[in-house]
Amino acid sequence: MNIKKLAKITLVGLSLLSIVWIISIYLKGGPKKSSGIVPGKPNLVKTYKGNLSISFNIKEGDFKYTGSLPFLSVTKKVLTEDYLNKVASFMGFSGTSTKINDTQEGLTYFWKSDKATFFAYTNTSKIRYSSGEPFVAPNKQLSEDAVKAIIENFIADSSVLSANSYSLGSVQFLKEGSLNEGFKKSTKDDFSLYQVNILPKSTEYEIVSPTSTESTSYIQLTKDGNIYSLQLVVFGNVQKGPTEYTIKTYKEVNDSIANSVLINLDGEETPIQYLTVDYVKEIVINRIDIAYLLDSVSSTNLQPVYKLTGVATLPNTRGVQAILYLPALSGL
Amino acid sequence: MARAQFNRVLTKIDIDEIRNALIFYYPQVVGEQGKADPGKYSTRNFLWSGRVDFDVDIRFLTDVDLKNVREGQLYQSLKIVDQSLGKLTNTNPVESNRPTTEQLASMEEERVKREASQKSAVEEAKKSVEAAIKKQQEIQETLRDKKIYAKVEVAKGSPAPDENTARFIEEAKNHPLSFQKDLAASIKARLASSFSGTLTGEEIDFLANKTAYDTVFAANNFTTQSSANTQAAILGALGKDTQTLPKVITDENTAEFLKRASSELSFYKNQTQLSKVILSSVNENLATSVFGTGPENLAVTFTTKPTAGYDHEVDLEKLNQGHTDVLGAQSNALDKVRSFAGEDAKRLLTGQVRNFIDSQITKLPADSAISEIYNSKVAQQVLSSIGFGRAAPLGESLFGTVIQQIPGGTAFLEGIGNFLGIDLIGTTGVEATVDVVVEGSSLVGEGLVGGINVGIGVTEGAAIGVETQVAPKVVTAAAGQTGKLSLNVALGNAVAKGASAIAANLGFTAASAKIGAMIGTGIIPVIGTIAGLVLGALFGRVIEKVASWAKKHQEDLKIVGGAMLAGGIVVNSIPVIIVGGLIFIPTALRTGFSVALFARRTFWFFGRIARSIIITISTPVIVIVVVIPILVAIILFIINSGAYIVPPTGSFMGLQNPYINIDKKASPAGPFNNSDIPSKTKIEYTVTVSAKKGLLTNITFKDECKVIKNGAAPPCPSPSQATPVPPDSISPSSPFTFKYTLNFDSHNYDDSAIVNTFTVTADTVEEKGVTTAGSASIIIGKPPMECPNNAWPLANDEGLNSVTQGPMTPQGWTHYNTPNAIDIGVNGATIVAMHSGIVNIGEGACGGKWVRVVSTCGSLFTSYYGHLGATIVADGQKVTIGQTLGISDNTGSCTSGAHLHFQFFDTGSVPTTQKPYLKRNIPIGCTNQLGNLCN
Repeated sequence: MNIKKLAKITLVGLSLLSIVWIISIYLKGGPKKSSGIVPGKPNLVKTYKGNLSISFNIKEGDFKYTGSLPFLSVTKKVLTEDYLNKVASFMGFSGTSTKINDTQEGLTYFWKSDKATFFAYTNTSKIRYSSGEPFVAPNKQLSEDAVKAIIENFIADSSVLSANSYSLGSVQFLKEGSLNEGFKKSTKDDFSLYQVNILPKSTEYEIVSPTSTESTSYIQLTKDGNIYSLQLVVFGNVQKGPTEYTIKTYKEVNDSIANSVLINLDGEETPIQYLTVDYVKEIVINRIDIAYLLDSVSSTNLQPVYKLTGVATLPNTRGVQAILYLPALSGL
Repeated sequence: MARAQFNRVLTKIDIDEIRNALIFYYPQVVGEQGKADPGKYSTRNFLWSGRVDFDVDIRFLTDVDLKNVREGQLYQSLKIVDQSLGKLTNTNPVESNRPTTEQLASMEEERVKREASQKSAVEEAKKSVEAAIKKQQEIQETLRDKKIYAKVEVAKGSPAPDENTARFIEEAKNHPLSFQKDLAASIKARLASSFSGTLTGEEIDFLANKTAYDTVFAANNFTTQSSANTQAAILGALGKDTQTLPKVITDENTAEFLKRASSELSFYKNQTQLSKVILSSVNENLATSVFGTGPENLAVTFTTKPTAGYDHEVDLEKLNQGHTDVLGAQSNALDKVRSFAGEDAKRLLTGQVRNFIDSQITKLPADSAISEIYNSKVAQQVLSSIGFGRAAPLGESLFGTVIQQIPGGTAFLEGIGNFLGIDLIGTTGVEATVDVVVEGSSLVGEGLVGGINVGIGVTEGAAIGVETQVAPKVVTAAAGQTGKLSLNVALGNAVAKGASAIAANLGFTAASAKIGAMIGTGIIPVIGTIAGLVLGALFGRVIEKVASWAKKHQEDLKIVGGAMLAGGIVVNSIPVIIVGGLIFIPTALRTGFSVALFARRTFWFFGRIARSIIITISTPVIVIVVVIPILVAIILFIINSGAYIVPPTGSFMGLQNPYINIDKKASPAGPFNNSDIPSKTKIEYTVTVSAKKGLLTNITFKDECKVIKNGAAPPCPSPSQATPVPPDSISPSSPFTFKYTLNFDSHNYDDSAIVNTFTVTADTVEEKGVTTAGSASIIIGKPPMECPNNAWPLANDEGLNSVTQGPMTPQGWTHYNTPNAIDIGVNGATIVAMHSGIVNIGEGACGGKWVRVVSTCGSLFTSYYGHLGATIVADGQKVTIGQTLGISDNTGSCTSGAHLHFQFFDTGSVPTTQKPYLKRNIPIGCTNQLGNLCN
């Protein structure tokens, strides 16, 4: 073997090694399938004292969730006074804020004007704006694109979120309930408010919490395109976790349906923990979605959960909508 | 081009976006008519250059080739596409139960006709409104900072209440709900006996309830009533003034407008006069005592400068402002009308209206006329045919009969007939103009309702720039409750002048003499005559005309009624009109206004509607789009008026019950000193249960006793005898009485309040399972003062008059079956503890952030404060009465606007949203959204 041939072989060998090395690096960097390690359960506490009779009324053929999902790893933006003052000022609040030590969410800045309030919760990096004005406004017949443009402009002009850190959900049309308080989803022909959910760029699923069964971040506009209310959990960074975990199959969901946790009964003001043990007669689940759960104020790893929507039978009323959460990961 | 977009797993969001695109390219999928290729459409994730491009993707996703589908098969194919999309991510189909192609074609034909006619009519109306707005703005400029000053003197005062009246007034204050109900029943009985042939049952109910409500309200708010009288007098005088106004306002048109506005406002502020007249026939002394010195007995003089004695400042600019606001709202309403002409109209129908109508219908008694129509076979068929599929319960109804019973129903039919091109009434058009006019230089308008009347409107508070305080300051504009005066001035003034004048004004000359004679003798039928005349003028001069026709065409009418109720053509705008057009309803949610106000406006609307429909016969489109929906809405409100004008008292709350009376007495009654134990504290309780109206059967008794004291409260002592077994029945002539003794012989009861409540549930002649309760309380020593006592959950009594919902609201409403819960419309307000106690805090999806305080004054009270923005107390923390708990906001999903949800839990049978626990009584069952107002 001459030197030339040796050099050739060495070169080819090195090239092959490089390719193997690059591939291994690549594989290391991508999401790993779970090696069978099951993460801990999300912080979902059953507060309803009674035994729930839950039935899963979804056909197997209609159940489309399969495969695996990663955690969502989040950091929250530190809400500095400077940042908050800027946003508050943009929202029309003048003067300094009142500082409140909120016993659930820590240091909270509070602005109030004749027309609106603005809360900023530093521990949870959450801000809330609520107009006290009626939501009735002239209908400017805004297109969905126009609504999104208004929201994007608002976000950009107020600097409330970083550019490229979020995406907008589809435009929802809300209308106040004809009976119960609260807004319900409606159509663009009969609505009172636009709502657009704000999603982190890295996921297409809503982020929900035990206290918010819809997206934790949203902006609502009146028909004339003014901000009516908003709530934003301001994340610093959101990315999918490195490992993907198998999610529950139809059978697993069906088998573990009794473990789902009642989160909300539509129109029921009494906190669930204070409802009597026989208050909820039964719940029939007829819809299932996936969402990521922000299960506590300090959560940084968000697990996927199945958001189960159904009808609960209560005493003296017709059925009301019930929402329950069930950990989505297999084995939990 | 597009297929690359699907080179991945589709998410639910993707499918939603594709569905939106499907609706964009094929609006037929939601019941709309097809149109030419609308071209480019983009979403967050997708882009299509046009329908052809979209079809390629649909074929890729669902195997359905829309491009080559024959027209007759298109709907079916779209349905398959929709279902296939749904299966991709388990999302629901866009809709179900679509109309057939033939139905769509027929609807389209109707739509085209309607749209063309509608467009021109609406644009004409819009032009008029915009012109009026412009004119109004000019007037507003000339009125800037213009004020005059009024002196009000009593020409003839009201007599002092006699002993009987004083007792009535006291009763109205102490037991407002039962008093109101009893009074309404009394008036109703008299009206019914005298005018069963003249007035419908619903009209009688409406008048009786309105009068009773006005009476109770005035008795409890005498200052407000007096103020209203004073304002009415000032406005009335201003309408006639020829001396002072010209000195301030030189422009004749403006001065004329102001005079007209003032005259109408005068009636507006004088709205209890009809109730006063009606009540006078029941008890004249009560009427004059409760409603005070009326405007007709107040003498008003004006001056242009602040002068001693001229303590009422009239801000002319504000007087005009309300009208401007109304015009603005009308303009907005017209914008909405325009949108109805658009292609989205049917989608609105199929998507939303059914829910609204359902919700309204379910509020009605199952055997009510409207319910019967709605549930009739024909109506259900119509519902299905336009996309509202539902199991069709069999049922028959006689719409013809119904239409005679509904105030304004004839006019309603007339409008429908015009729209459909069918002469349902047998009459022909009267006038050809849309009654939205600007006559010459003065802004006089009459006619249409629901936000497109260019008539003189008012914004209560904002519009009435009359300060009735003695201090010479300008009244500040209240949050605008926009309404408008639709009853003509002549009628309004006539009411004030007396029954004879009413009759004369309405052209009932024969009746006039009769009424005059009746007034002279003060006999009761005056009530019914007046009511009959007023209602006759307002509700339907033509009701009789349709009666005979309707009987012959019952089946046709069923179809018409069903179609109308289904919302296929007409009712589509109800939700929008109610929210947007009837401006006062949503506004009332926040600011509140009286039931009387609502009822009065309802009167006006009917009057104006009845007139407008006749006037606008040749412009049926306006009738259809604007007038009829409001009429339908109001019919529903009127039909259901019993539910909101007289709230369900729910004897549960311990208030007087029409069927059962419980009298519970403690003897000796105390109060006792601690040193009286045990010598004087052997208490004998006597309970008497009597039937007030017919036999009570299926009776159950429950006796509860609670001790309220600081710290751990001891149980009540055992009674000397157990609660007796109830008798099989109790009749009005034979009450059931029993006694027992409680012996408070231990100093455990030092400084205690002992609340002893006896509850009876029984079937009555009219209702089953009626419950009522009676209490007897004794005080020993000094019970804790930390219990809720004349308290309010907001600092500085904020929101005291901004309650938007009370406890025990009608079925279907948030506080249905929820005792002791109220909503207070505040934002960012400081929440304080109603009593001392131990705190729990939390946050829920529905109630948002909440604080709960478990009382330390005994186990009786637990107070709850929901939808907070911040909580500043911690779990387990002790708080005392008045201590700040947090800040109000709008958190949680069960809220349609910033408010505090306040509730007492664990109160047993004790009514706690009343005095003495709260600073004010909250009407049981009140909900501003229904018009049964809380403030």
